[in-house]
Amino acid sequence: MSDSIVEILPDLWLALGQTALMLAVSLAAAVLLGGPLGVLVLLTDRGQLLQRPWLFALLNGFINVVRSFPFVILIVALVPLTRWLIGSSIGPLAASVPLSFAAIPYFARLVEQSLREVPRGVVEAAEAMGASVPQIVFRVLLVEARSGLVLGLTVMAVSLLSYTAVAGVVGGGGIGDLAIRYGYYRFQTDVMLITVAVLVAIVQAIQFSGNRIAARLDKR
Amino acid sequence: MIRLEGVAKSFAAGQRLFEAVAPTSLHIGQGEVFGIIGFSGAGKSTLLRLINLLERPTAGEVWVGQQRLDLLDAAALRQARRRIGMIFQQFNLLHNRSALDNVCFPLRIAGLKEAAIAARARQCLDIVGLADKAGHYPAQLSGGQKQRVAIARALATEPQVLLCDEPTSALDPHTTRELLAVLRDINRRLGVTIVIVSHSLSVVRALCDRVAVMENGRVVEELPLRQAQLPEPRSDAARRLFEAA
Repeated sequence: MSDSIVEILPDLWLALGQTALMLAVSLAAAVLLGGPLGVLVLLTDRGQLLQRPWLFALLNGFINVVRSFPFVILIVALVPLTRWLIGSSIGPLAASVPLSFAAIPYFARLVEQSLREVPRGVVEAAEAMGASVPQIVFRVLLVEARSGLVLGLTVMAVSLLSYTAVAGVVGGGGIGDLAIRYGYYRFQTDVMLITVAVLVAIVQAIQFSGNRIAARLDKR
Repeated sequence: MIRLEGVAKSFAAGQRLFEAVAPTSLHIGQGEVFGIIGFSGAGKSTLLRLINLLERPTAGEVWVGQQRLDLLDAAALRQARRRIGMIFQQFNLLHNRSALDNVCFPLRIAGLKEAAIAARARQCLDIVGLADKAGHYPAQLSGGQKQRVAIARALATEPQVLLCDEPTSALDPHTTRELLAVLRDINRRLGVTIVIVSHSLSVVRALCDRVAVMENGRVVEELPLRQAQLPEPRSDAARRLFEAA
């Protein structure tokens, strides 16, 4: 047992770094692109501030279509795009492309849902005070929904962590990949257990910090 | 100060057109406290919300001061709304902002300098007697205190008009009296014109110079309230409201 731990330690460190990279890239993409997409899909819905039925249908449809893809299929389908962007379809950075692609509509949906929870009356009060739409988004909706947004981000981070294992199968690397290569293909159960333990620890850490931050932000 | 000329509001309800407010004209003087009373569904909140165009009229003209609001573009309407405060039954405060930050909100969106904002916001909290609660979040305040923060917020931009949509309906009788005293004080000291919607005759009677009685989207009667004796109502709706009180 101890021998194989020492043996895979370098690999484990490398895998940890790869997982962290994939998570960081896809989370950043989710927040920077999925966030605005979620805000826009909410605002264009019927009865909302920027009501545009056709734009809503388009954005809503896009989110649903991308979210329908099984992740493995998304990886394969996006290979040409990944090659074009990264220059290769193998490795953690390449795996970050389909991961980001999955994360963007996922987070958009979570943002949309959180913002819908903000009471209509609070938005109306801001309108009555002469607030513009960007002011309502940044000073009312995002502020009032902030703890829900953090919890949504937490849920998504955990999902993305398990997606990185799938990405590992097609050469993405990472901890999940380690578990499959050593634990599964080489029947090294102890390595499998270690990697699973590491994943459990990461998930716990993500969920714990997410809950804490959300609770601290929530003054309701 | 406020002139509604033949304003009406109808909604599409399925195939049919529902007339929430039938063509109505009202003139409310500068510094007046004007009540709108009626049973639930009479259209009184809709009529109030027509004044700051939270509801867009389907007909008629809305004048506040010298400005016709229903013809303004979006940017000009936002400017005009800064001169019209509003408070609500459910207070509608930002829950994740302190009392002080809630009062700062209308000043920040108006783009004032931060130093002036803090001073003005504290002054407004002082007017409603909550200077000591500046750092509290709404969840830490009682219903009456929340409504007073909402009043301070509505007053921050020094509006000429304060619209009150059932401001005491979520409050107990004692807190209601306190809040009415705050509103009366604001009207006397600052000369703010107040329009208040309520289903309670006692609220309207305690505060208003005049009241419009609404039923089925129509103002069926306007009554003066300043004399000690309640005037004799002519309309059926007013009589029922007076009996209920």
